[in-house]
Amino acid sequence: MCSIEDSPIIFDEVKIKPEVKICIKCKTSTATILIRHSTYCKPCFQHVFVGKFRKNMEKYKTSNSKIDEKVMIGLSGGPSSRAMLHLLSEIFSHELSKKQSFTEVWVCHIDENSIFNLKDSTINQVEQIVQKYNSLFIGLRIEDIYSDEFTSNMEFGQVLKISIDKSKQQEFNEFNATIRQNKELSNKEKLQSLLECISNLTSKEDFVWYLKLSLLIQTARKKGCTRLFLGDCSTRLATKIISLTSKGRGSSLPIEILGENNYFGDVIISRPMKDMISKEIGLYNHYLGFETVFIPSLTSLQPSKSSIERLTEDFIVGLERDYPSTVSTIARTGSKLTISNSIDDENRCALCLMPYRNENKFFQNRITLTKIPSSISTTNDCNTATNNCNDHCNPVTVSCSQSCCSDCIKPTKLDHQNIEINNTLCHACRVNMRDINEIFLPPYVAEEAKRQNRRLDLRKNIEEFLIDDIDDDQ
Amino acid sequence: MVRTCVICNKERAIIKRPKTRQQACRECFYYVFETEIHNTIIDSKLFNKGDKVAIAASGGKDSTVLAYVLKLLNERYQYGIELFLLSIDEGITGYRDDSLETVKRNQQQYDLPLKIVSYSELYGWNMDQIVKEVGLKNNCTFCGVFRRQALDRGAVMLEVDHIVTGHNADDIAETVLMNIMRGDIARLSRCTEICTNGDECIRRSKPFKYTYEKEIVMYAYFKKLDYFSTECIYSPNSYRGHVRTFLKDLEGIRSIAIIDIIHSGEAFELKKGVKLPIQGVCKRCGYISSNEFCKACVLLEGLNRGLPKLGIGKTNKMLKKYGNMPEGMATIPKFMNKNSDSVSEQC
Amino acid sequence: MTQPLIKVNLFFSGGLEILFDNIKQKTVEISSSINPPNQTKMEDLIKWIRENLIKTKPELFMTGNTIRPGILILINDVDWEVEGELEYTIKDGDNIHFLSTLHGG
Repeated sequence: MCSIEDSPIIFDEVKIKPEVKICIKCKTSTATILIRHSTYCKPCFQHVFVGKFRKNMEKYKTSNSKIDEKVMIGLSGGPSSRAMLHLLSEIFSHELSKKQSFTEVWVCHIDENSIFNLKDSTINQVEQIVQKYNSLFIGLRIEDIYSDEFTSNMEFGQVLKISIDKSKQQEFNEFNATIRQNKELSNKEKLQSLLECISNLTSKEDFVWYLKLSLLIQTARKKGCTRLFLGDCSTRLATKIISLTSKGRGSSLPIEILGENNYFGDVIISRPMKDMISKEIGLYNHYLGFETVFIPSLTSLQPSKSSIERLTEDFIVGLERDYPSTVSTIARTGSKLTISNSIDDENRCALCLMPYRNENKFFQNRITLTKIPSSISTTNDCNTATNNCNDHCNPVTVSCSQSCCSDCIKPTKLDHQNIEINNTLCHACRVNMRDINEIFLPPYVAEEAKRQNRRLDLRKNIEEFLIDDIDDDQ
Repeated sequence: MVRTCVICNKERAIIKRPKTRQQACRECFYYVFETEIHNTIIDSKLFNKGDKVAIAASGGKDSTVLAYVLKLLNERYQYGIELFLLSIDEGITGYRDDSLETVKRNQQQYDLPLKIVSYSELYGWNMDQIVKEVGLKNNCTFCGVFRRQALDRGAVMLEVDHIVTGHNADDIAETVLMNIMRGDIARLSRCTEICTNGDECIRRSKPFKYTYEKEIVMYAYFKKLDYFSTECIYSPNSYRGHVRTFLKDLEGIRSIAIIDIIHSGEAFELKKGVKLPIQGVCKRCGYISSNEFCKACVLLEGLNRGLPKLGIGKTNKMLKKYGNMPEGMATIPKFMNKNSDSVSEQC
Repeated sequence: MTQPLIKVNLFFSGGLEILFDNIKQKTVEISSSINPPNQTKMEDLIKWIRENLIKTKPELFMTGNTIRPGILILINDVDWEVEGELEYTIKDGDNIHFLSTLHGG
């Protein structure tokens, strides 16, 4: 059967070469820029560009803004955040003269060079840019996420060690996790060993992004900022919509792409660059003579098929050339999505901090069988024993008698606590875990996993008194 | 080195399973393949005992394997359903005429009753004629719209409760991506539903929702099933082609991506206030439609009036441009459901 | 017969410089007609750069016979898409910026 369903697909927006070379806005000057199907002269282009930005900022002001707000700008130093810094500063200085909203503006930069083992730090370069503006600067390194202070209580000194025994026929997503003291290696070494132990670039990119996001949010909290500006532009958002979908992150997608959302409660995330495509930003920066900092990525100089993120970017940008409505249509689709009400915000992945649905694990095992009943009963008992342990083991004190299950019989010391992690990770993070052997996750993950375990334990105690929709269904 | 099946740990592995990249032997592959489909059917409560179910059969790999597996599972797990084959003859010389021969052989092989509905008898046009009229650009739109109605009409003729189609995980993942990329919010929110019965009277479902295309091919290959494997000669437009290539590349990077896209699609929820089309019925033929006239009637009108672009694009805009559809020109037979005079009263 | 030479100032930025040994600016002299009798066009210049200047991974600079999508070209500060893209005839003293807008390298 032909898979094409019944709806017409109209893409008559195939690229047409501009015939009229007059700016469509002032209708007098010669056009020097083509954005989608519209030709502009330089001044009109800049006017339209700044106008789009202002419009988004106006929206935030009317919706969520508080008086005397402290805000933070996430600045990678790349084109989009660089342009955003300038545009925001203009608005801030304008507002300060009118005695309005923002009382303190922080700029936060995260140096990622340890990922690539580069000596030079990007912090100085970025700081020089920020000095031109009237903002406070904080420069961090990505490995700082392993420091105790980037946790909710700002002193949680433990890391989470996760290991997968590949020799065992693992159930779809079962990992062993122990809580350890956060002292054995330097933060940089911990980060580097984390990345070394992830065999796949897609997963690596995912880890790095969520470490960065957590770092940004924790930093904003520490500084008392109630709003975090991120520089995602329309091209980037379109790419993210497709790549997040492809990584099974549909339920948290809106949080990562919406122009504004308050999922993180005390820190609102705003994306004022969401309506500009990367071409516009490149041109804007070029005309204003802004320098950007080149930030290598995990897929720099790699082929297109090296990661999902990279493949998606090439796909979207390539399509956009021939069908210039691609990016805007995808971004528009994304903007109509919302975080489901049915998602309990307690179900927050310990690693990526995103909400997830509960039933995932069961569902995956039903549609992707890795065992057959006879093999479960005839092969060595280790599999089933592991499963049993995971069901029965108390997260802290372990009382499992099966001798085959080595992880469970180890005597538990205070700094070597087994912890049930499988129920505290979202589907996409569990998929990523399959690409690892043994890694150390930062304290914030350990802290969150512990918190959720406590909650699950509590829940177990009162379970028989809870009225659950899921129970009704079964 | 002889590789051992990682599922049974006994037999020699002969394939690497596309879905999990596990090495498996033939019997274990059959078992997991069939059982996953069975789990999908059970978990989604697709069938009720006594249901009459039409398999949309094109003669291609998906529907051939679907017919084979459903017959097998129906016997193995005693679903107690009655199966039929329902084929649509789009009238594509050198493609459908040959594949219909396959369906006719399947009818013998699986001993299932077969009904063929043709575009010519239903619409007065076949795809060869349509392509002559509209060219190769929007032909898939015509075919898709016409097929959907033809299946429902065939199902009414067979008096079945339920149509199952061979749409596999790859098809659904592709549809999710296409709907995002063309901004079709209404379809995006329902394209991952395994079974649609809210907005139409004949249930329609996709038991292969979580089944990989490659595994369907493997299954058909090892079971030596008789299927027709030529691509449609009026192949889909290039935009969809790009999406298809992207999906294959994604699968190459990470095989679970196909399931993950469906998983994401299931989680999508629309903001309050996003306008969705309201389902009604076509004024002309009685088929479900979110507009005054259903897409098939508009497309057909366009064909008959020599305005093939009439149904392409936003219907209302086009009707304004080309003039409205005169009343009372029933060109497609009135759509009648077995339980009622017209679908409208039930839906 | 040798063709007269024209000077072109090339600029690489946005991460593109890593394909050129981190050189951000280079003045080059190329023949005014690479494909005589036709004058040198943007298409010829891009090919020439690929053959003469790129140090690594030419596929990250070009796809098919044109520039890789996501790389902006500005000819004397004017968007090359307004200037006829590959059909633009290179002139002596042109400033040509190649600006990558890609996120993932």
